[in-house]
Amino acid sequence: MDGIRIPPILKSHAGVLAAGTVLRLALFITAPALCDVLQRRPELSTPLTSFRSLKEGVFIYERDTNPYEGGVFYHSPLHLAFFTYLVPISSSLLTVFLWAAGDILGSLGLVNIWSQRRRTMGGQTDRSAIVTALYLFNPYTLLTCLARSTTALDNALLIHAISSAASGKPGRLLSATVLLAISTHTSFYPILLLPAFAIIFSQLRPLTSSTTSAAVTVSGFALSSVGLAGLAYGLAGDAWVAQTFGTIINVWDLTPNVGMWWYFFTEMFDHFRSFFLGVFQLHHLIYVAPLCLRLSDDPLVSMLVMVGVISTWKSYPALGDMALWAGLLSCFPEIVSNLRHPLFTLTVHLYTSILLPLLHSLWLLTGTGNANFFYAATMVYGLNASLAVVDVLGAGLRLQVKRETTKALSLLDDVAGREPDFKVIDEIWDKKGWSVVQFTGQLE
Amino acid sequence: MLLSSLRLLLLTPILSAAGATSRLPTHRTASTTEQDAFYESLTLRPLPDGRLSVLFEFTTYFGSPASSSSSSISSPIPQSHHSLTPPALLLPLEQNNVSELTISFSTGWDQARTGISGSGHYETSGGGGEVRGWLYENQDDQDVSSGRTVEDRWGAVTHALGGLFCAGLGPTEAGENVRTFGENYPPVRGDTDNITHFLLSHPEAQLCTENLTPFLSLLPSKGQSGLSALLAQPGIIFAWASQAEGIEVIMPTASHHGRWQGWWEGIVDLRTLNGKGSGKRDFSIEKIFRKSVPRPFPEAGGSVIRLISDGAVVAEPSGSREVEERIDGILETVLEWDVLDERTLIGSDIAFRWDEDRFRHPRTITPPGLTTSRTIIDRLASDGTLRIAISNNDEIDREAVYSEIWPWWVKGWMSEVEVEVDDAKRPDLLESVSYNPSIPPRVSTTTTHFQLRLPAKSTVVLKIPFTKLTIKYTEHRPDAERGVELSSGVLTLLDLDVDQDSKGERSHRHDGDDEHVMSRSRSRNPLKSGRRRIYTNRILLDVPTPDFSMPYNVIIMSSTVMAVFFGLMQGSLTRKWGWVQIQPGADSTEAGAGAEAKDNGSLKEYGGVVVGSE
Repeated sequence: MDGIRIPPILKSHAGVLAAGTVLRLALFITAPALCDVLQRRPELSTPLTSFRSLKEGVFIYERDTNPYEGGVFYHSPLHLAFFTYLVPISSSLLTVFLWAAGDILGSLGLVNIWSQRRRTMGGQTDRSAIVTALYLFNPYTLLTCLARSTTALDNALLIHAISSAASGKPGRLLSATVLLAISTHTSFYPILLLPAFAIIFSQLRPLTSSTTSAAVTVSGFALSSVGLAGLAYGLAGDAWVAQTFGTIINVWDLTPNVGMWWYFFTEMFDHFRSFFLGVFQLHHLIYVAPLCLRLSDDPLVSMLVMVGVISTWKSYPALGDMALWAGLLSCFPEIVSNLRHPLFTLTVHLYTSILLPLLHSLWLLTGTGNANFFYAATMVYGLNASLAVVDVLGAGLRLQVKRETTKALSLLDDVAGREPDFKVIDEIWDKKGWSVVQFTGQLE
Repeated sequence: MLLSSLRLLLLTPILSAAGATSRLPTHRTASTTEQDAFYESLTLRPLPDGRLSVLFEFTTYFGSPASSSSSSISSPIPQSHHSLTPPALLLPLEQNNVSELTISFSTGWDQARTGISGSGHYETSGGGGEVRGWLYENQDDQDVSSGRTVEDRWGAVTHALGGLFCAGLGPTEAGENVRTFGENYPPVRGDTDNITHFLLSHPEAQLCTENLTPFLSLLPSKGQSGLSALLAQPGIIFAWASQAEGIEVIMPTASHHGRWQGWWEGIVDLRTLNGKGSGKRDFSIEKIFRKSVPRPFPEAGGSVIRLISDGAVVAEPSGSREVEERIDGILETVLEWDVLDERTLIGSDIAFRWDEDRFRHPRTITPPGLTTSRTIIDRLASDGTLRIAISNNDEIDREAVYSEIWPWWVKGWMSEVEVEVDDAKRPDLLESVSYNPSIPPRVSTTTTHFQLRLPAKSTVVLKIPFTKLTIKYTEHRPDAERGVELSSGVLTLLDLDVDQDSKGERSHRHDGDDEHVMSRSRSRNPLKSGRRRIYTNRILLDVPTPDFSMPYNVIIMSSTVMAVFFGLMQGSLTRKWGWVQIQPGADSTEAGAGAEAKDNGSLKEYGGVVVGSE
C-alpha cells in the first residue's frame, strides 16, 4: 500500500508547515468563490464568530456608531478594534495572511505542547510533523480558516495560552495568564481552564509554595481581564458586555449551529427558559473540579478533556472548536493509543460532515425540510462528540492506571527518574495480557 | 334639523368657557363661535385599463372641541362640545395630547396598470394598516406626575382607535412603535417643536366590512344622506377590487382650526358593469351605486361630484364647472357637479360615455413619473436580498429618501447594500444612509432611510441583503408557515415644489379661492405634485419555522444526550479503575474465567477476578 510515495521533504516539520501555508494561500487566492460560500456556512461560523458579522460591525463602527447599541453584533470589542485599526477588514489580502498566519501559529503552539509532553512523558520519536499535519490538514481547521471565522484566531490564542502553561517555566506564567484572559475575553468559555492553569503553575517546583503560585495565576488572570475590559470600555462603552458575554450566557441569538442549544431554546417554554439556561451553563462548570482533582497528576490531560467538553457543549459551537480539540489531542499520542473507539468517532464525524450541510440545505436553503432535519444532524454530531470526550477521559484514566501500576510493580527496570515511553508500557501490558477496566464500585 | 338645534344648545357653554379662560387670544373666541363646516366630495377617475377609481372624501373643519385641551384635563368635569365632529374620534386624541393623527388601511396600489404612482388620496399609505401621528411631548404636570410617558399616551390613543375601527391598531409591545419616520411625514402645521412622531405599521391588516360601519358612524351624515349614502352599501363597496380607507385628524390649536378628513377609495371594473361581452365601459352613478344622486346632507358646506376627465369621456348632464387641477403634477381637467347648487340633480343620474364601440385594453400604459417595485431575490429560505427598483421616467433628476421598516428578526447587512443602474454599481447615487437597528431579542423594529439621487430616465436598483433570524417558537405568529408581511417601503420625495400649506388640502374649497388652478404653461411638472410619498408593494416573507409540535420531544431528546454524557463522565470520574489479566490465547468470552490470580501488596480480590487497583 505504498502507491503514493511522499517526498521526505514533506515529512519534515518545515515541509508540512510550508505545504499547509501554500494550500491555504492558494485556496484563498484561487477560489474566492469557495471562501465566500464557506463564510456563510453555519457549521463553520456562528453569529459570534462570523466574518460577515465582523465586517458589518466594523462598517458601522467606522461610521462613528457603536455597533453594540443595536442590531446583531456579538464580536468582542478587541476584534472590532483590531479589524478597524490594525488589519482593515476590507483588505482581503491582509485578512488572508492573518488567517493563514493564525493557523500556522496555532500549529507551532501545538508542536510546543507536544515537545513539552515528550519531555515529561519520556522519549518518543519526533512527531512535530505529524502534529502539524494533523492540525493544518484537518478539514475542520482548513475550512474554518477559509471561512475566516474568528474561531480560527481564538483557537491560536488558546493554543498558545496552553502551550505557555505547558512549558513548565514559571517565567511563562505571565504570558499564559494574559493569553488566557484574551481568549476568555473573545470567547468566554476558556475561563473554565483557569483552575487547570493554576494547578500547572502550582506544581512547578521552583516557586515558593503551591498556594502562592496558584494565587498569582488567578490574580494575573483577573488583572489582565480587568485590563482588557477597561480597554474594551474605552473602545465601545459598556454596551458590549450584554452583547458579547450576555449573548453567550443568555443565548439570545438562535441562529442554527452544530451545538445542542439553539433548537432547545427555540422550542423551550418561556417560563422554563431561565431554569434550563442555568442547567446548560452549569453543566460546563460541574466538570471543572472533578476533572482537576481526578487528573491532578497530569493537569494537561484535564485541560484536554475540558477543552473537549467546552467545544461540544458551549452555547455557540462550530466545527472550528472541534478542530482545536483534535489538534490538542494529537499532542497526546499516549491517550490516542488508549482510546476505545477512535474509528467509530472518526467515521461518525465523516458521517455528520455529510449530514450537517445536507440537512441544513434541505431546511434553510431549499426550504423543503423543516428544523427537525438539521436538529437531528446536530444531535448525531453532539452525541458523537460527547462520546469521544468520554473516551478521551477514559483513555486518560487508563493511562494513569497503567503508569502507576507499572511503577508500583516495577515492571520496568529502566533508568530511574525518567518517564518510560508510553509505547514501551503498552507493549509490556499487551504481552502480559493485562487490560485496564472500569469497575462498578465507587472510589474510596 | 336635529343637529343644528343641538349646536345652538351647545354654543353657550363654549362661549362661557372661552370667556373664563382669559389667556386665550381673542380671535380664538371668534373662531370657536364660527360654524363648524363639513364638505364632501366624490371623485371619479377613469383609469387607462378600463377601470374607475371612486374616491369619497369627507372633510370637517372644527374649532377646539373643548374650550382648550389643557383646561379640559385640569377641570374636574371634562367639557367637550361637538356639533359635526365625532366625540369617539376626538376625545381620545384630545385626552392624549395628540397634534395630528392619520389612520390608513389599504390593499395596495398597482402602479403599472393605472399609470398613477399611488392611491387617489395622497395620505393613503402602502398595503395593510398604518397609524401615524404627532404627539405633544409631556408638558402637563399631570402627565409627568402620573408617570404617563408620551409612548403610553400613543399606546392609549392607538388602542382606543383600534377599538373604534374593529382592528388591532395598537402596539402589542412598545418596541413596535417606529419613531424615525418624522421626516417622511412632516406635520401639517410645520412646527416640529415639542412634538414627537410615532408610526405603527400593520402590513398584515386587511380592510373589511367591519371598517365601513365605524367609518360611516364618524361622519355627521352617518351614511343616511349626502354622498355618504352612496358609500353606505357594503354589498356594493366590497365587491370593488382594491380598497383604501383612511382618516386624518389635525387637532385645533390656539391659532388654527382643526380639521378631520375621512376618505374611502375603491376601484370598479367598468366592463363588468355593462354585462358580459358588451365590452363597453360607459357608466353612470346609478350603474355604480344602484342609487341616484342623493339629497345633500343639510349641514354640508359643499357636496361635489367630480370627474377627472381622461379627455374622451362625455358626461350627461355635463358638469356645472370645469376646473383645472394639478394631480400628480399633471394639469388635469376636472368636471364638477355641486349638488347643493344644482338641486335638479337630486334623484336623477349622471351618465358618462366614451365614443367607442368597445374598450380596447391599451398595449402599453404610460407609466407615472416614478414607479417602484420591490422583490426578494435569492432562493434561500434563511437569507434573502431585497431588490428595490425605482424608475424615474421623467426628464429631470430627482431627490428622494427610500425608507424601510423591518421586524427585529430581519437583519439587514448595511455593509453589503448596493446601488445599481443598468447593472453597473453606482455608489455615488446613495447620498446618505440612516440605519436604526432593532435591539434583539426585544421586540423592536429596524428602520432604514436611504437618501438617493434618481437620475433622469433610468432605473435605480437598491439591493439590501438580509438574514432572517431564528425566533423562538412562542414568538411566531399563528400560521407561521404562511409567512409574514413586510411593510411597504416608502419613497419620500424631497424636491417637490409645493408650499407646505397646500399639502393634502387640494379638496379645500373652504376659502372660496381655487388655489389649484395653477399656471397652465406646462401640463406636466413632476415637481408640482402634491404626492410626497410613493409606496412599494407589501411583501410576504417566508420565515424558517421550527416544528411547533416538538417542544417536548426536543427538550426530552436534548436532555437525554446531556444526561448520557453526564452519566458517562460521572462514571469515569467516580468509579474505581483497575486491571484484569486475560490469559494470552484465551477467548474473549472467557476473559473473566481465564483471569489469573496475581498477588501483590496493592492488589485486592474482586469476585472471581483478581484485579489491580492503585
